[in-house]
Amino acid sequence: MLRSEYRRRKSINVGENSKTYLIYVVSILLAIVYLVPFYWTVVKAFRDSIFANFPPNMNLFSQTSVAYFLANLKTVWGFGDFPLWYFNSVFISICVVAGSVFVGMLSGYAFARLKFPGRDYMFYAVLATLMIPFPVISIASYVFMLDLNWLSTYQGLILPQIASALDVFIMRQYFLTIPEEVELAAKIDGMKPWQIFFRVSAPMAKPAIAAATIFSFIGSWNNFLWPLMEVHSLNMFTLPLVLNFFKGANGTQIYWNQMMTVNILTMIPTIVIFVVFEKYFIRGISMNYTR
Amino acid sequence: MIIENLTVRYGEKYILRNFDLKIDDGEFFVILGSSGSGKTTLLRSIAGLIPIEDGHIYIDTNDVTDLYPSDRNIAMVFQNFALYPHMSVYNNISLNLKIIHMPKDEIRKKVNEVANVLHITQHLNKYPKQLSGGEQQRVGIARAMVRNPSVFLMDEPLSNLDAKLRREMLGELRSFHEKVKKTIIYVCHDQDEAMALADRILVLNQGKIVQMGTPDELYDHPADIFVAGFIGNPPMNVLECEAERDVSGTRINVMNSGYLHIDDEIPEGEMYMGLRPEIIGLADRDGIPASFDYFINSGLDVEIHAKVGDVSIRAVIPKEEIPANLRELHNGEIMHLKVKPGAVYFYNKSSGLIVKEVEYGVSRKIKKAD
Repeated sequence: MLRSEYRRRKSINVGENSKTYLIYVVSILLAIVYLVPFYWTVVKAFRDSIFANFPPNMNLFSQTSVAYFLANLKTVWGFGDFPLWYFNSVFISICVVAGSVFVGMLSGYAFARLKFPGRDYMFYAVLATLMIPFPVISIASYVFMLDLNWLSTYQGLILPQIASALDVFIMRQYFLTIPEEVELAAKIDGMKPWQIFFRVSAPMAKPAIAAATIFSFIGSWNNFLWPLMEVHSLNMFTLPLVLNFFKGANGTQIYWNQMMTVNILTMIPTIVIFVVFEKYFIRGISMNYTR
Repeated sequence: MIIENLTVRYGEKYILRNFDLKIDDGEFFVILGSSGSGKTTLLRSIAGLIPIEDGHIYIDTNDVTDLYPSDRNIAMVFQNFALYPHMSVYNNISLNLKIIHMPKDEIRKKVNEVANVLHITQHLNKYPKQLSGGEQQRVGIARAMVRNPSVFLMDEPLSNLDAKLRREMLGELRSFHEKVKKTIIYVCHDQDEAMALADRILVLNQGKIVQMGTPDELYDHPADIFVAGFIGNPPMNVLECEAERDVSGTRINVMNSGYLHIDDEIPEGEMYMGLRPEIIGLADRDGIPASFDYFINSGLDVEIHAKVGDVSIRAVIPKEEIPANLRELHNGEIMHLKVKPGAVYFYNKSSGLIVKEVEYGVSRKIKKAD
């Protein structure tokens, strides 16, 4: 009796275990599929050869050297106005993130907490803009910028990206989950509405701010189409344009090792942002305030 | 504190309409009601947290109707504690003093004082999430106390605590009231809490005062069938019955299962009868037959649930009267109930208002139905 019970449990365990193994195997395979391009990017940046071989040489220690990487780095950094372009990307992204998160906070809060006529319809209208792909409105935006005489300017690159329905949505959903009583308590403690927002509600929404920051940073940092249309002069280039430009810089021959070095430089800020905000990120996108 | 003609509505729905109330200084006043009764609305309109349609609110003879919440000289404690999660306990308590620009050392003195009273001195540098529920609620009370308000508003402050802690906090709230001697307006839906804490209880149902009085008044003389069913634990049995004139009083037909004879005269007709579980006892043979359901043992007494027809009846049997074979009773087995001497309440069937409260005679048993 006892033994059969023991066997039964053991067989359940075996079933459970094989399921666990399967999950691990699939996860690891997926991780490899995602990581291989990055691995190759890094390996290639440390090589001297400009060619992309097939099948690629994946050996980390064959034909690689730090000296090659530094040489590649030097070439790339000296290419055109690379430091300026890098600055453009960083500056624009910081402005877009700051602006869109701030606007998202304010309007998200208004949609979540304030009472005004047509509030929910306005929110749905904002939400609906998420469904419209950017290319659809890109021509209109372009003409708008042309009329304003904002082509090839920072404001022309930044402002259209600040109105982010995604950030508004993230912030609103999060504010909805914060218990109203905390704000009532703040009212009784003598805070005026704007103080309540900045000293209580906004600090409580840190995870949502982190999520919005990551999303809008990635959106702005990787944005290719808008700068491509908006920018007509070399000194306003951003990194995605540079990547594209770099590809053809040597005629038909792509210098893959230098190209990958540019890639690595381009990836660094994204990784930094993610590491800094990762702690809040999961809580932010699950959109739930938990005590 | 006086409330005059208070009217509050959400959209088209009136939560409170022409509501009047007077609460004495230093009173522990409990507003008791089930959810949707308007009790939280009442409290929040006193605090100035929701817009009111009409009416006036006076605190210490000042008209505070149009004042901002923080200017009303009130403080509030919330069910979910409503602490600022990103601030230390010390900052949580002291924020309201900082906002009125009180000097720093004075703030420190006051915070330490209330922290001492509420035994949270060792937690001042922690954050709310590091504290247990009970400790968090103490911080909530400390935050209210530090302002030295003339009225404390408490919105179900113990509902989020577990049973043991709630019992403990009941005592502490009582002793807190003895210490501060301030008016406390306390909203809850739990009659145990209300009975334990209140100097005076107001029973609210759908925005209307059902009954107001001391806990004993409400328990001994429930003026309304709602109060009768609400106050007392376990709740009163409310049964359908029919009264007929009799030679020497009134004969009450209880759900066609038995008769009860009372000496007082009450109007004839169908009505509701209220019997506290404590006055229902076990009879041998000639009581009213009921089918046993289950029992709950508290150690001190046993609460027996039985069914007469489809109606569930609760009887609380004191320890010395518990039959030895209680545990051998099976669900559905027939047992006999009687009514012991005590107060019996009769309520009008349509309005729910009290018709008559009678003292039922000594050891008169329910006669079996013919």
